[in-house]
Amino acid sequence: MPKYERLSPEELEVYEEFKRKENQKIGAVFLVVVFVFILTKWFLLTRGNIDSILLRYIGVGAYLLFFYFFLKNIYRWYSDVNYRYRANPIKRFFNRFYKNKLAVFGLFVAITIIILAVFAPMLAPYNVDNYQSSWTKFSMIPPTKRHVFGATNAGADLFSLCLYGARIALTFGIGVTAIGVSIGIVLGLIAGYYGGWIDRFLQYLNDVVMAFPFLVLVITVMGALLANPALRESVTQIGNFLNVPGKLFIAFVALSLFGWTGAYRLIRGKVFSVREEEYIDAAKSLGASNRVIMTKHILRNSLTPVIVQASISVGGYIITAASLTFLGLGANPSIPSWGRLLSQGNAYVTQLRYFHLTLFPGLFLTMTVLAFTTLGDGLRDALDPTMRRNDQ
Amino acid sequence: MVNKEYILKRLGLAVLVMFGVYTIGFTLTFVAPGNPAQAALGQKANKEAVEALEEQWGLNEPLPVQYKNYLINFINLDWGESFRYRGESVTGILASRYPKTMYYAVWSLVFAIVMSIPLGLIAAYKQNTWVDNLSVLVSQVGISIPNFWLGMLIIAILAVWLDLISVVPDVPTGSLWSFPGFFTHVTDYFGIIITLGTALMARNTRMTRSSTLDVLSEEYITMARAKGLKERTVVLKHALRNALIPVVTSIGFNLLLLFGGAVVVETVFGLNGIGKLYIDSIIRRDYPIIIALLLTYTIGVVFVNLIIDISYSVIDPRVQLR
Amino acid sequence: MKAVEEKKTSTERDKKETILSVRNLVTKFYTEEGVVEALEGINFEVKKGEIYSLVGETGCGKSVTVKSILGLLERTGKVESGEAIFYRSSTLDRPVDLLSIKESRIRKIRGKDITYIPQDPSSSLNPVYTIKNQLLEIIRPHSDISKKEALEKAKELLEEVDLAPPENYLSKYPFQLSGGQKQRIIIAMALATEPSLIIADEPSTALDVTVEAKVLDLMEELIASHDTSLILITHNLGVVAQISDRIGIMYAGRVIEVASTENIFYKPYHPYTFGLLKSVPSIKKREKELDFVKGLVPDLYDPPSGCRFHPRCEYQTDVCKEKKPPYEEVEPGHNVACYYSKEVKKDRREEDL
Repeated sequence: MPKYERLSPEELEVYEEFKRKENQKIGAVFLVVVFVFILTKWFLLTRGNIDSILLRYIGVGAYLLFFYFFLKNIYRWYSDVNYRYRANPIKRFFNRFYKNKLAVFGLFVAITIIILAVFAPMLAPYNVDNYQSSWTKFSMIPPTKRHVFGATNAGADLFSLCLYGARIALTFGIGVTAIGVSIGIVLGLIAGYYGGWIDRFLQYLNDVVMAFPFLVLVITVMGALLANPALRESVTQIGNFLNVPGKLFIAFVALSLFGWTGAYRLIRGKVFSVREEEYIDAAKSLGASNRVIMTKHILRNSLTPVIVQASISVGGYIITAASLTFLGLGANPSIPSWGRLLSQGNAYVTQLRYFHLTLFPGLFLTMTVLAFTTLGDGLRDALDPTMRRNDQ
Repeated sequence: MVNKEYILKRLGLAVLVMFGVYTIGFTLTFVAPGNPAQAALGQKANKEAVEALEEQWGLNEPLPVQYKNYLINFINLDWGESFRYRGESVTGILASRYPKTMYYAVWSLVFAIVMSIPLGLIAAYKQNTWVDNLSVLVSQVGISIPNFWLGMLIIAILAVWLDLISVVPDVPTGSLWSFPGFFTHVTDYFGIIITLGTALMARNTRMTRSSTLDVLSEEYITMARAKGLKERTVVLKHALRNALIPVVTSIGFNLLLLFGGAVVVETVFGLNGIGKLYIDSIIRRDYPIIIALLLTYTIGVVFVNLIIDISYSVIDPRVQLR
Repeated sequence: MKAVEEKKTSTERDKKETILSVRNLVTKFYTEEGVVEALEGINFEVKKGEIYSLVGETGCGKSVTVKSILGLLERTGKVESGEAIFYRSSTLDRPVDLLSIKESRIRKIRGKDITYIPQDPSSSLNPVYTIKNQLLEIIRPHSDISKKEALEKAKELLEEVDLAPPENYLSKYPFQLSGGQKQRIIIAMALATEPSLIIADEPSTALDVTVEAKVLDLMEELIASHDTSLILITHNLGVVAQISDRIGIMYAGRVIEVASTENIFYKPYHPYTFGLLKSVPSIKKREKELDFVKGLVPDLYDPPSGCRFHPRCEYQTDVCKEKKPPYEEVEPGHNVACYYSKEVKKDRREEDL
C-alpha cells in the first residue's frame, strides 16, 4: 500500500466529507455567477440598454471569485493534510507551488491573459479593425467611463487595443518558445548522440549565437529579411500560405531562428551527463536500443528543466517582440500590439496628459512577462528545489 | 601564475567566435543588398552614378571576394567610409559614438553591481525573511520590466512630472571621460543609467542570492562557524568570495545585455550612441558600420572576458589547474 | 577483539571528572514537509581524557546531536529542550549550558575549548584560501599571540600530524592536497587551540581504508598526548572497538545504551545492541548467512510510539508501544533504556557472543 494512504478510516471519512463540501461550494458559486450573469444580460437586453459596463464589472467580479475558489480548493485538496502526502511527488509539487505566492500570482495572471487574448473579440468593448483610421473627437482622450483606458491618437479605444495586443504578444511568446524548444531538443539530441565534429560544430554555432545580444541578432536578421526583396517575398509567401501577415511572420522567423540555444544546451548537457550514469549501462546491457535510451531516459530526465526554461523564456520573447515593434521592425502596423502602442506613447511621453498611452500597454506587457517569469520560477522551485539556477 | 597555454587556447577560441560573428554579420548584410548606393544617391540618381558608387564601394564584386576583401581591410584597420554619411570614415563615426554609450554603460554596470551584491548576499543570509522576499520581488520585476517602458516611465515621472532630471542630456562627449566630468555628469545620464542598470541589477541579485545560498550550505561554512569565527567573518570572508565567482564570470554577459539594451533605450532617450547608430544603420543598410559595430563590440566583450579569466585566479585559485 | 581487552582498565576512568554532560536533549527539524523529531532526549556524559563513541545507523541523529551541542544546526533545526553542561570553559570559571548561553559566548568556546572535526575533509576546507590562512584563522583569534608566533605554532602542528616539512603545505590550496592530507590538516586545526574536548563526526568515513587506519592511529595518539577528550561519531563498530573507552549506542534519536567498550561488546543489555553485534561477521562462527536487525530505520516524520525500536524488536510487548522506556542503570556505569534488558541478558548467555 502506498505511503500516502495511511489515513485511518475515521480520518478518511472526515476528509472525504470535507472534500465533498468544498466541491459543493465551488459548484454553487459557479452556478450563482452564471445565473447572475445571464440574468443581468437578459435584463439589460429587454430594456434595450446594451451598455455593457455593468456587465463587464460583473464579469470581472465573477471571474475573480471563480478563480479564488478554484485556487483555494486546489490548495486545500493538496496541502491541508500535506505531511501525510509527503511521499507523493505530484502532491508535493502542488504543495510547494501553492506556498509560493509569487508563483500563484503568476499562474493567475498568465491564465487571465490567455483568456483575454483568446476571447478578445468578445471581451473588447469596441471594434479595433480600423484603429489607425482617422482623427476623431475621441483622439487622445484620457480614461473615462466608456473608455476605461482612454483612447489613442486616432481615437481608438485603448482598452480594446490592449486586449488585442495580448494576442500578438502570446503568439510570439508561446509560438517562438515552442519552435525554439523543439529545434533545441532535436539539435541537443543530435549533438549528444553523434558527438564528434557534429557536436563541435553545433557547439561552435551556439557560441557564435551567444556572442550576440539576442535583440541585436534578431534586428540584424529582420533588417536582412526586409531589405532583400526576394527573401522578403518568399517568407511572405509562406506567411500568406499559413494565413499570417507578412512582416509579422518575418519577425516570427527571425526570433525562432535563434531561440534554440537554451534548450539545446540543456539537452546536450543532459545527454552527456546521463550517458555516464550507470542505469544507462544497465539499460544497454538489457538490450535497450539507442532510440529507447534517448527518448525514455534522456528526454524524460530533461523534461523538468526544459519546461522551466520554456516558461521563463516566454517572457523574454514577449519583450523581444515588443522591442522590435517598438522600434518599428516587428509586426505589421495594422496589427494592434503593445510595442506599437508604446511607440505611439513614446512620441507623447513628455506630455503628461497623454500618459495613459504609455501606462496601460506597458502595464499589460510587464504584467504578462512578470507572470511567466514568476510562474517559471515557481515551477522550478516546486519541481526540483535543488536544481541549480540557470540565470543566463 | 596563470597558465599560458590556457590563455592561448581561450584566445584561439575567441578568434574563432569572432570569425563566426563576422560571417553571420556579413551574410545578414551583404547578402541582403537593399541597394545602398541607390539609397545614398536618392531615387532620382541616374544609373551610371549608382554603378560608379557601387564600384567605389566594391559592391559589384562577387560575394566571396567581398567577404575576403572586407575581412582583410578590417584587419588592416581600414574600415572604409559610411554609406549613409558620405565622406565620413567609419572610424570617425564610431569614435564619436562609442564614448557616450560606454560612459553610461560603465555606470550602469557599477550601479548594478553595487546594488546587487549586498542585496543578494543579505537576502540569502536571511532566507525567507522580508529582506529576502523583497529581493526576490525586486529581481523578478527588474527582469520582467521591458527596459524601454522603464525608460519612458522614468522620463515621464522623474523628468517631466517631478522635473528632477533632464530628458536628453546635452553634454559634450569629451568631458564625459575627463576627471571631474566622469563623476559630475552622472546626474545628466541618471535616467538611462537606472534604466539599463535595473535589468542587470535584477539578474545579478538573483545570481548572487542563489550562489550565496549554495555556498552557505557548504561544509566549509559549518567548519568556519565551528572554528568560532564571528558571523561577519564567516559571511564576508568565507561565503562572499565563493559566492562572487559566478557573478564575476557573468560580467561579460552583462556587457552583451547592455549593448542589447542600448539599442532600444537610446531611441527612448534620444541619445546618439552606438545603439541608435546600429538601428539606423540596419534600416539604412549601412554595411560598413554594421560590421564594424558588431566586430568592435564582440572584440570588446571577448577582451573583457579574457581579462576576467586571467584575473579570475585571484578569486578562485583552482583555475590555475585548467 | 584484542583491542577491547586492552581497554579493560577503562573502568578506572569512570571516577574521573566529567567535562560535558548532555541531559534530555530534544531537537526537531521544521521542514516544509513536516516536523522531523530527530532527537527525543539524548543523555550522555563525557569524562576528562576519554574517547567516547556515539554509534548508530545512518540517520539516527549522531551528527544532529553534536551539531545541536555546538550550535551548528542548519536553519530548519531547533533545539527544543535539554541542557549540555560544559565544565571546562577557559573564559568562564563556572560550568556553562551550551544550549542556553548567548551566541557571542558560545563562539568563544567553539573553536577554543571544543573543536570539531567534520565528516568530509574535502568539502570542509574553503577552496579559495591557503592552508596557512585557514590555520591562522583558528589560532589567532583565540589567543593573544603575534602573527609570527602563530605561524610557528602552525608549523609545529603540521609536524605533529606528520605533514613535514610544514612549509610545503602552508602555501598550498586545499585542491592541491589528497584526502588524507586534508584530514590531517583538519586534525591540526582541531588541536590548534589546546581544546579540552574534540568532537569528530565520522572523521575517517570519506577516506581509503589504509589512510583511515593511519588517521585513526594518529588521532588516538594525539588525544593521549594532548590530554583532551574526544567524542567520536561513527557507524563503524570496528573503529569503535579499536580506540574508544566508552560507547553510547544510538537508535532513532535516543541513546539507548551506554557502557564501557568492553561491556558493550561482551555484555549488551539492549535488544538493538545485541542484534547489532550479532550482525558483525566473525571468523569463529563461519555462518553462511549473517544475522541482521530486521526491518528498517523508522521514519522520523512519523516515529513509532513509545520505544522507537519496538516495531523491529523481538521482545516487544504492549508496554513498549505505549511508553518510552526509562533510562536505567543495570550495572555500575552501564545504562540501558529497555523494559526487557534482563531477558536480553539471559538470551545473551545462551548465544555466547
